[in-house]
Amino acid sequence: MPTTSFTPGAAAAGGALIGAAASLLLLGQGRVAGVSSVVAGLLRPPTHETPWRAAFVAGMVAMGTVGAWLWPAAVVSTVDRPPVTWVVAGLLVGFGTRLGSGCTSGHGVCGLSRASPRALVATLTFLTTGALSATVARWLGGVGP
Amino acid sequence: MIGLAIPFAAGALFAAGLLVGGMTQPQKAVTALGTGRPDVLVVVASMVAGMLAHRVWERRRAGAPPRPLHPG
Repeated sequence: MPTTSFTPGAAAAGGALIGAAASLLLLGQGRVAGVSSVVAGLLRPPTHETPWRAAFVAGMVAMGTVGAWLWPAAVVSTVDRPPVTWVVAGLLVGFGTRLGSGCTSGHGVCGLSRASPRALVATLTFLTTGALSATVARWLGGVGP
Repeated sequence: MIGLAIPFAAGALFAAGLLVGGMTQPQKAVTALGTGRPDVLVVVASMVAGMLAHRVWERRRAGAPPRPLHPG
């Protein structure tokens, strides 16, 4: 599924599944489904929080593996970039999500639904920055979707 | 073990939503990790490196000496 495609039906269905997942984790485990925070927690020394974090990531990887097998188009990258950009992007995402204490799932999905002002500021910031970055990148080198 | 079924199911459901509705970073990278694709592995490794770099930076800001990333 190219992220730049306009597919409102699939987007709504995917959003509903993500919302259901976030609700399941909040109601069943009492935890927020912020993917970057869950992963970052696994990088720290093991605590009583480690098992559920590992189980959540395992569930994601398992579904990703099954999804890639059943529906390869769902995980095909639509962005052709030199590998150095993957590294730079990964570093920025990793550092930035820790700096902002969350990512699109923690702030955008869970934080906004809990009416968190901090999540609203974070979401507006990364959406605006992302749009500006994509626009500037297009102007400079013809890159971008 | 039963207690872990809920977070596992939540993770799977979350990834299913990403697969159906499109993906964003860093959820995309984690979901696609099982495919073993080199680009995904590089992105995830870089993301983890960025997170660890933030830990080091945070500790330095707080005035504490940087701790080994893998103590012991």
